Amino acid sequence: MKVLVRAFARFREIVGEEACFDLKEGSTLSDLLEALCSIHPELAADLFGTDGAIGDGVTILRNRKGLDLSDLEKTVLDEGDEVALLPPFSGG
Amino acid sequence: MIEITEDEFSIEDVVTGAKRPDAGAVVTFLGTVRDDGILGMEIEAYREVAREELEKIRNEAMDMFDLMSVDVIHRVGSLSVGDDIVLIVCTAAHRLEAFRGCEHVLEEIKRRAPFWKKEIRAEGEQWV
Repeated sequence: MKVLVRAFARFREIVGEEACFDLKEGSTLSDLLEALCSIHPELAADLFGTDGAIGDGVTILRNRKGLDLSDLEKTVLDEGDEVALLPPFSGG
Repeated sequence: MIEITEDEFSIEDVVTGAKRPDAGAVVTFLGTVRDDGILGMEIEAYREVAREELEKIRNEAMDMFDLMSVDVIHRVGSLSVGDDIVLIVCTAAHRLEAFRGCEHVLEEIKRRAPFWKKEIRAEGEQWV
């Protein structure tokens, strides 16, 4: 199944604006992030905290909606999903 | 009005548009690019989500603070020192609601809306 990844700000500079991933059926958000970090190892330090959890202030949206990031294995992705990686916000 | 734009905007036009006979207070907040030794600033947004979030913040603030209107304009793109970044205009019957509402809108934008600033310095660039 195909999943579109969109990235912004410093994440965009690492992985590019958009990338399409071909994943096995039943793949989770954890699988996708692992695939991304294997291609772009420098992403991991920005995406994850020292405890291995998603870093403070990092937001990941699925089809523009927020996700529970406490257990990345729980989020099973679907064909055509858009997953957006957002570093901590600094607008205003 | 909720707007995300590369273009400069007229504060006077927004304030004039917000004024109404039953509003006794119009509070404006204007955020600008501060001179911290930077050459300039780039602002990026996830536009579709930022617009939705700005609309939610506006609607919540209008309910919470009994505001009559909330306008927000947020710039994106390349800015220079002194350029306008964000304009918030809140109207209410009385000043207290307008002041509190305006502060709330700003704090929620900073906390919830997907915008990012990158400082451009002589020694390099940095996301902040």
